[in-house]
Amino acid sequence: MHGRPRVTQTCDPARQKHEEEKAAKFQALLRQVLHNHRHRIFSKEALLQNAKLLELNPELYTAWNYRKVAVTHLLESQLDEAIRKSIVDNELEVVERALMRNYKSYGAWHHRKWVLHFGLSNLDKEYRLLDKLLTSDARNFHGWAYRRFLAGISKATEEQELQYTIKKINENFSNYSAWHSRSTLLSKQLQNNIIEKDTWLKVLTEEYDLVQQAFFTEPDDQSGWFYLLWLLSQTVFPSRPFVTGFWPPNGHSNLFDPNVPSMANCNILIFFSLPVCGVNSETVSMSSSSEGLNSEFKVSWISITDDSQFSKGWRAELTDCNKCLEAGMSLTLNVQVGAKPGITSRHGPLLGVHNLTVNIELGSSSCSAPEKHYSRITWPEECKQTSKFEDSPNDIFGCPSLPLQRHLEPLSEWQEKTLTNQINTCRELLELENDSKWAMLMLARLLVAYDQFASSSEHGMDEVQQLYKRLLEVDPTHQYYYNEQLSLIRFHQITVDLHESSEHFWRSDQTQNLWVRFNHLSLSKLGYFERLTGVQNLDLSKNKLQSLEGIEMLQFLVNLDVSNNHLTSITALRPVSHLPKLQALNIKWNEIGKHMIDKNRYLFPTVLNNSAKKHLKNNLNKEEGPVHWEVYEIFGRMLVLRQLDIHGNPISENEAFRSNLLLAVPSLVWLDAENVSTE
Amino acid sequence: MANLIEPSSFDLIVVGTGLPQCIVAAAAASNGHSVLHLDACDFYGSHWSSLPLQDFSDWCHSAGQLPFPSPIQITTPSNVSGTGASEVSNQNVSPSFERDTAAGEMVFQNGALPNNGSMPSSREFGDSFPENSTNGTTHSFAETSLYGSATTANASLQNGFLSPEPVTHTEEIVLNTNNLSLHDSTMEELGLQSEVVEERSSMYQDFHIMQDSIEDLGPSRRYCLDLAGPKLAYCGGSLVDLLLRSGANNYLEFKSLEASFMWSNGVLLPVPSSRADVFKDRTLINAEKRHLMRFFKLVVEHDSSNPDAPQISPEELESPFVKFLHERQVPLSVQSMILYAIALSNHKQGTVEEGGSHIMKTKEGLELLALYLSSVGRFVNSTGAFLYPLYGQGELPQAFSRSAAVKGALYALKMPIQSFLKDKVTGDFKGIKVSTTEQLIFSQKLVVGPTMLQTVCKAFNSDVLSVEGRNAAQESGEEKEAPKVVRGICITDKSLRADLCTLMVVFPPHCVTVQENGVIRALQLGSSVSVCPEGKFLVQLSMVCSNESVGIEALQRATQFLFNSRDSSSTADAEKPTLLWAAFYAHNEIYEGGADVLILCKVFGYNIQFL
Repeated sequence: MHGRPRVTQTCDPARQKHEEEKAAKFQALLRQVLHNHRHRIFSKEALLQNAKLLELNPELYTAWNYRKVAVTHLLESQLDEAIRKSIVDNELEVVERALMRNYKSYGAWHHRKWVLHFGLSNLDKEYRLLDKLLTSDARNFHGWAYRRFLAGISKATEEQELQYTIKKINENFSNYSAWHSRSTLLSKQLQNNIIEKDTWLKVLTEEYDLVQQAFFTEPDDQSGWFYLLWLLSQTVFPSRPFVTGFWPPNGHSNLFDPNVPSMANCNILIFFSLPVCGVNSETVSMSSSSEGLNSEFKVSWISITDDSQFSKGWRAELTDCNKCLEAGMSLTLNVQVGAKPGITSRHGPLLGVHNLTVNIELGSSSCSAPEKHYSRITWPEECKQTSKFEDSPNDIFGCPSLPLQRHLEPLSEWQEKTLTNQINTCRELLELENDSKWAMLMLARLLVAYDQFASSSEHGMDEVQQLYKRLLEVDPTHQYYYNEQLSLIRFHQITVDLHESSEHFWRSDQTQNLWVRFNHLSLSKLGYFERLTGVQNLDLSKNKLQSLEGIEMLQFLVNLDVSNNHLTSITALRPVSHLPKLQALNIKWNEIGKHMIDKNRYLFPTVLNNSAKKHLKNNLNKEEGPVHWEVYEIFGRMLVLRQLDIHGNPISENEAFRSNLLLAVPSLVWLDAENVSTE
Repeated sequence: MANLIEPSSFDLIVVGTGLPQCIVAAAAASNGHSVLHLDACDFYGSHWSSLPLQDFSDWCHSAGQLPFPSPIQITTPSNVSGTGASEVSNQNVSPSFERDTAAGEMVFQNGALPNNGSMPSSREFGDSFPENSTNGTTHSFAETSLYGSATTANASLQNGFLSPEPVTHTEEIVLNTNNLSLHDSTMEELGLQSEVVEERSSMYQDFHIMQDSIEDLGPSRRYCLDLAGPKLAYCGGSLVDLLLRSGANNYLEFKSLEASFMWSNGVLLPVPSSRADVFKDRTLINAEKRHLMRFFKLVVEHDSSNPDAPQISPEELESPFVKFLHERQVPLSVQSMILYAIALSNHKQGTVEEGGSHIMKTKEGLELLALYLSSVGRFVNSTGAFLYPLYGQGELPQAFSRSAAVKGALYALKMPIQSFLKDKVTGDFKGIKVSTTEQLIFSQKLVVGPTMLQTVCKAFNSDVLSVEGRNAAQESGEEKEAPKVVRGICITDKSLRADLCTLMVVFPPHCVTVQENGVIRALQLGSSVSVCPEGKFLVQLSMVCSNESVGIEALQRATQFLFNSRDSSSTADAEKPTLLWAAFYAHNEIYEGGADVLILCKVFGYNIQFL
């Protein structure tokens, strides 16, 4: 089924006529079947017509539905076991013929499964048919899924199924369907506690050995490598989330001041390594040790991204703290993340339990009421005078520097040994095959994983960087990915001891704003945002960013400069729309509007989801001309945005866009140095 | 006389139904020549046939005499031959043929050769060969058929040439070479002289039969024992191409050999030949797997005409293959597998200093390995590289006979010949005299098998023959003593590997005997290829040797390695099959005065592959 060239169809009048006749016949049959469906005619003839139709086109789900209705009807009125069985067998035959036409028809496979649920069919026959199918097309995932389904209802032992996968893998180890089925079966065994922990480790070790045979035989075949990835995920559990950071840091104070708008709420933030759900007052307990306030706090946790279920960052707003506190007083909160099980990512539950204490102080700021007049800020790049800021980084991060805690359980001896083994195996392969991209990529990932998980980090990131640079030469097709990985490493190196070095801290002399500047660094991907949590002013200009994914973690951002990057659409600003305090955004000299195709659009489930619709409804009647839905979708959420610099993007020339923008962001005062405030 | 052959003049007379003769007959018939194909026996195949157990046992007891029945019958080899077949005077069908007819009708339901798809389709035989007539070869049909015997004809087959000049052209050549026109001479005996045919029959010697009784082995007719086993065909080899081009593939069915093993200190090591095998193999370490796969890739991809492809220098191509394998870091254990189980070398491969003869050159080795690799997976439903015909190798000559008969060749079994007719003046071949009916049949061209070669050489101008022979002798270098081959055939009670039916075991040189440098190959066949009843297995063995008795002893020792003997049940290893019956014999390849020619004779030689 693989590697067959496409035959170009030539236009032949005789053939075309033939096709037309066929289509007409098909249409007639279709009308008849739909008529039968509508009038609930379940005669033998009607069923035959339906079967004929499905043989011609197995994709007609309506026709399958008709059959389901008909079969249910026939079975209801029939008590004779033999006749019931013949009805069901007939269905299986119809499906078989349909599958002959297209053995990847979802409708047909669904129908087959549905029919089997009556329990009237001979499963041996099913297995025989399936064997035939998987012999002629060994990588048909429908076949494999159906096999697992059969194993489920026939109570076939996992051992038998595992044997079958190994048989198929031995026939052709490029068959990822077989490898995948194997991983599914093994996971299932572990989940159902069929395998004990010790045996499981032995099984995994054997699997490592098996998959090694594949990539030493053919290092370019990806099936084995993907299976290795799965094995690694079973070894070091990176699919299980862990806590990457807190705000405020453990043992430190959170100052709030109801009089200052930016400090009006008292926030506690938790960051996880993977998007998790189940963060609530049950799973994250909070208690106060202060006298008189010994009761547990009830707070609501809110996702800081627009996925309200799964999120990497969660925020608790302690809105009524000011009722409990008087100026100058402080309250100590004991927070326990994972107090009860329930926090879980899509792949597994949270690792470990984390405790922290937080002091909450009521600020005694003498600041007046929120400023009504917003004066345009100057971006660091535009400042005539900026100077290095050498003082305490506390002023920038809002908290003292802290050594980064490892929130991880240390690796077990077996895990460490396995990781080291795999690192050595990849190195062995690389010695034999200098240009094997898979070996390089896997080695780079293993080294990063080792660095991340192991207690002692022996492997420098230098080697990883060398590997990715080599990959850029060997495999330019995936250069974006490799560049992103290099960028991540670079960003890691910059931020790992950010508190110690003042290289990236600047003070703008005009506004006295303190900036963290990562400009001119060729960054294409960002990460490690938990290290930057308290930052208010961030300069990322003159990089190669195509995406701002993850920046929503910087909940305290007020001013953000991403000018001179490679952002290609308004939708790429989606993470920015989750920054609640953002006042000024600089996206000058990007590529917004330059490309016809918006690559981020798929992130939006429907173009006009409810919130966008709401905006549109409010504004459409006022405005004529083309509607830029993404403007409402993205900028509509930036409720305190005062300043937007967008000059230098193709879209900024667009009048309709500008007027959409002004409607979507009523708070806007400055648009490209032009005062647009309505007041 | 009811049994006279009509007409009495043919373009070509072929004597003996060995595989080469049948191929020549099929080629000639398909090109419109009239062909008479005779065999003294009542079955097809001559020394290529597969016999029932009883017949085989009798053959052994008669020290390798093919049974010649007395009554004469003329028959065509197939009832499908109606189209162009000449008249048949007697429709009696020989017993051994009955079964085969049935077999012939089971055309490839399960076999490895499809009639369509990626293969050249077996179209009309007539137009499947014509490219040969235009390729400007120096051979001519007249030369090969008149003097060269089937063996030489086959040698030219291997050069991609098969005789088919148009009739007129052929006659020109005949005139040129023989300076005689058939039509000028009258058909009377006066101008002819007869040369009595002395057929040499002692091709076999040293028969050892290990168990006389064959009574408890099941019905004799269920066995098909090859006289010249073991032989296999590469899926991508010339035999398969020939079958497809001639259409003979319609008359037989193949199964692929399931696995090959190397004997190593009492253990059978699987021979890795595909990436799946390399993946499965757990005796190789990681680096060895990589080196081996890289080597396979080099074999398949190297191409001197394409500068982007991997290159092998001309010096390397001329160097010994074993040295090349070593330099390319092919794992040691795999080196001997490649040499003896894949490239199928018959002799110990070492450096010249180590006293090795028959050193395989890298070029040759790579070609064989490439052939092997292209054979694996050539056909969808065949997993291995080698094919074996159902019902034994005797099916092959029959298949070609059938396609010859369909094209009009006349077949007559039980038809021994008494003498050759010779032109008194020129000494040229003119025809034959059938011994039983004393009928004279005329032709100017003759193809004979190896047993009659001697007579032919003696009787007729052998210039062409000697030229061919000398060249071959020069090529083979210092080789003084022509090789002999010892063969063995065993019947056992179970498979060497429980999960497999057909397999080959290769004993590399010196692991059984140090007195000989030959490789012992054991081919296990079973009921899946219909050569024995279910529950029984046939194991054919062979080795090239210089001393027959040492060779036979070595084969016997190899069987002791593989099997328990019937009477030593106390020391038996329960895993091993028990040897129920066995016969060993030496197959003599030497013909006085003609030894050099037979070096060309790959088909009937000691090689394990058919062609």
